[in-house]
Order: sequence, then C-alpha cells, then structure tokens
Amino acid sequence: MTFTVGPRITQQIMKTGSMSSSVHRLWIGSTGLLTRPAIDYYNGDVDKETRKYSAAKTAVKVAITVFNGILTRIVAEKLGIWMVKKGIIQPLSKNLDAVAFANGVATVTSFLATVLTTFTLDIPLINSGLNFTLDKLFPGQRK
Amino acid sequence: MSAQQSLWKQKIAKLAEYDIQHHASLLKWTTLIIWACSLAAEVGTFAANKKLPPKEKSFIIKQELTAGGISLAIMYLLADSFEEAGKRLVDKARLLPGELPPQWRNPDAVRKILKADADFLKTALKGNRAWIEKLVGFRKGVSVVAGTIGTIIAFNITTPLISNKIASYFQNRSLAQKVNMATSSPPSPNTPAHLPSPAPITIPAPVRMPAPLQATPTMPYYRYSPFR
Repeated sequence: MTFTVGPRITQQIMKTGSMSSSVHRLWIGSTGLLTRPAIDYYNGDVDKETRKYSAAKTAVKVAITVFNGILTRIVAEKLGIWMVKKGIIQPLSKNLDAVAFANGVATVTSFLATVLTTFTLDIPLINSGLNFTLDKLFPGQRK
Repeated sequence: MSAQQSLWKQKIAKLAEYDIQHHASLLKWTTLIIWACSLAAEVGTFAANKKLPPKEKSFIIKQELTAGGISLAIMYLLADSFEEAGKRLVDKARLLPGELPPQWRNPDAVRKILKADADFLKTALKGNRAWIEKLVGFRKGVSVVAGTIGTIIAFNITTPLISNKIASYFQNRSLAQKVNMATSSPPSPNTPAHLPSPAPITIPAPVRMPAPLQATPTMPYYRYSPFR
C-alpha cells in the first residue's frame, strides 16, 4: 500500500531536507519545554514539593539552554554562509550546488560554535539562571 | 576547488559536502556530540568543585555518567532507527509524492529513480532528471523529519523518564547505605551489653524522598544534568 502526499506537502518535506541546525534545535527545544517539566511534575518517585521544585528547575534550565543554543547556532550559521560567500571556505568537489554547500558549512560552523559555548557559556549561565529564578520562585527553600 | 585551503578549512568543506548528501545523519551525530560535550562539561564542573567531599563527588560523577551514557545510547538508537525507517518508507514505495506517475509507485522503479539507473533514465524518464532530483530530495526530507521525531522522543520523553528512574535508584541506594552505616556503627559504651545490636535496615524502593533531604548540599546535583 502506498501513501501519497500532495504537491504542497511534498515541497515542505523537500524543504525540511535542508532544515538548518537552529530550526532543528528549535523543534527539540520547544517540545522539550512542554514535555520535560511535565515529566518531572508527574514523577511518582518523589513527593509533591520536590516535584514542583524539580519541574520549575527543569523548565528554567531547558529555557536557558534552548535560548542559548538557538542564538549561538543562528550567529554561527550566518558566519558560515558569510565565509563561503567571501571565499574563505571553498568546496573540494566540482559542480556542487553553491547554496547547498553554504548550508552545509553553516551546519558545521553552528556545530563547532555550540560545542565551544557548551563548555564556556552553558554551565555558568545555567547555574546563575537557576539560582536567580529558583530563589524568586521558592524563597528560603534553597541552601 | 582549492588545494591551498588550510587543513581545518578542508575539514569543514568535507563535512559540508557530506551534509549535502546525508543531512539527517549529520544532524543526528552533531546533536549526539553536543550532548556528550554537555555531559563532559557537567562532570568536569563536579570534578573541579572543591566544596564537594571526595566521596560525594565520586557518587555524583558516577550517577551523571551512568544516566548520561544510557541516555546517549537510547538517543542514538531512537534517532537512527527513525531516520532509517523514514528512508525505508520511500525505498519500499510506502510514502511517495502524489505527482509521481502510478506506474512508478513500486519499490523497483523507486530504486531505479533514486540510483539514477542509466537504462531507466533513457527509456522511462526520457533523459529528464527532474524526477530523480525530486525523489532524492523527498527521501532526504522524509529522513530528516523522521530523524527529528526520533530525536524529540529520545531527548524529551525517554531520557527524562530514565534519568528520573536512575536518579531515584542512586538516591535510594545512597540513603540505604547511610542508614545501614548508622545502624551498624559500634555500640556506645553506655549501651547495656546484653541488648542485641539492631538489624540493618533495608529501604524498600521506591522511597518517597522527604522534602528537606532535597535541600542538602549533596543531593540536588543530579538535577543539573544536561539530560534533564
């Protein structure tokens, strides 16, 4: 049995084939903002107070990492495309689609930038963000 | 086409060319590597933390590595199997663009179009490569969509559930060890000699953690895991 899709959906699916790294992260992050705090909130292994605290903590953490991750990727993708346009990075093979190559470089530069910011920015941002938000949400409950 | 490019530029160009053909695969691998880096950064932070007692530090690092390792394995399996399933849907002619003529909606014709079979291109397609580009692009798109769905399920549903279970297991074990150590300590000189020493207490799982315990300096660290 064959399922067929119409021309508009076909176009959308083909467009998704070159989905940028930032959009990919946006999809994962936005669904994570809904599901991950909910999973912590309904965690049956801990008491109600801990669940609330844990869900808030997860929501804050996911929001920070998603925001930071998407921003880093967008900037790095633009940098990658700029490097191709300026001829700083050139294709190794002949007859390559220039736009597809630039998008490929953008994926690679966004990956490299994200690895760098994971080690340099993520942990301090998460720690300070968590301290600030959770002190506001649960005053006096944290040491 | 530049032979003068430095090595790092050549590596980036090579990866970018791989991305043109295998975008879903590169997205999957980069996501996995970023996760692994996130885990390494987290573990490194604990290892460098001088305020943590060595015993607690070792416990937290083990816990993080266990949860992280299992989560990474699950994420790879789910993302990879979804990506492959997406490709198979097109290869087996289960999901195709509606514009494709009915006589080509079978696995054999799809395989020939995707491989740009010379005979098929000459006879059936009459030299028109548009269908090849369309079907190759469609297959690539389906694999990216399927791989992203797999990643979302792994990242946002399976991993938090497993992390919660692992954290709860480690905490229960730690709590049971602490209680056992407290009860098996030597009797005080004031204890009458004829009284038997109490039996070790075992904690049945799952244990409902009392709220104050979560606020102690050693317990909440698992909450900072990159997999949560």
